[in-house]
Amino acid sequence: MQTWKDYELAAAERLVDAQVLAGARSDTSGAVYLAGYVAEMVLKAAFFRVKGTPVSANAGSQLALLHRAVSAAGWGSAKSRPDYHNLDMLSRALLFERSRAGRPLGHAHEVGLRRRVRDLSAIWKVDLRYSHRALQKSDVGTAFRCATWFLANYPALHA
Amino acid sequence: MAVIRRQSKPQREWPMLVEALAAELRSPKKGHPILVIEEPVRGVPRFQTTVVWARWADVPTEDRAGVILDAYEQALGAEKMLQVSLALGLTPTEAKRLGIK
Repeated sequence: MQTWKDYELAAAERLVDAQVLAGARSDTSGAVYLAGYVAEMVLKAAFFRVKGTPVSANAGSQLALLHRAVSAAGWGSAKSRPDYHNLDMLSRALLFERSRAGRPLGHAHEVGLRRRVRDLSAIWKVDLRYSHRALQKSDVGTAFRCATWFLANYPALHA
Repeated sequence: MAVIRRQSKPQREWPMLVEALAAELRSPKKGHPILVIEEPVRGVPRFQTTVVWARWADVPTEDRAGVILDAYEQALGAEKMLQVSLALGLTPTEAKRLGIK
């Protein structure tokens, strides 16, 4: 069982792991995968925090909350099978939930969030965990910068 | 020793559960086998809901929240459904283990 607190801790740990991997091999897909994972964990944890989901809850069993938020935001259908690794979907769920909670994300953070989601989504997908391909050095740099942004701005994303 | 091999019910049965739970949410009846416990979340217009029901036994844990949310939407509307911050489905045995009565 994982709680959103576990997601927070995992995000911080995986960023360190990504840094170590990227330092050892600058073209590794592993570092990019971990960087995307950091973003995924940050977005999920922020969503559950804003939603008011108790910290003791099994977050994995509450992903339907996320799915319904995305559907209500007009993105995808409640009946279609959601991709809970999709950073665009996760960021939309968070923005929707913040608006509903009466505390929409500030303009600068929203622009920053959308930009990082766009940049990271262009090079990251969850299937990278099975990848053995080498990536461009610049992609590793982009992924790492995005992951760092997500973690650094996590307090603002859920505040 | 007895070996009991249970099989998960196919997902096509979930709509029937949604229907049954929605009916109970629309008009709760005393002594009904479904017990719904709603608790407000302090400071925000959100609430946690726990549905104690023997029929969860055949439903994987990860599917229960979806059934509950669909039932809320069907019975009480999307607005009410979006106020749920925790949708917990427990069998009576699971609820007892967690001290929920």
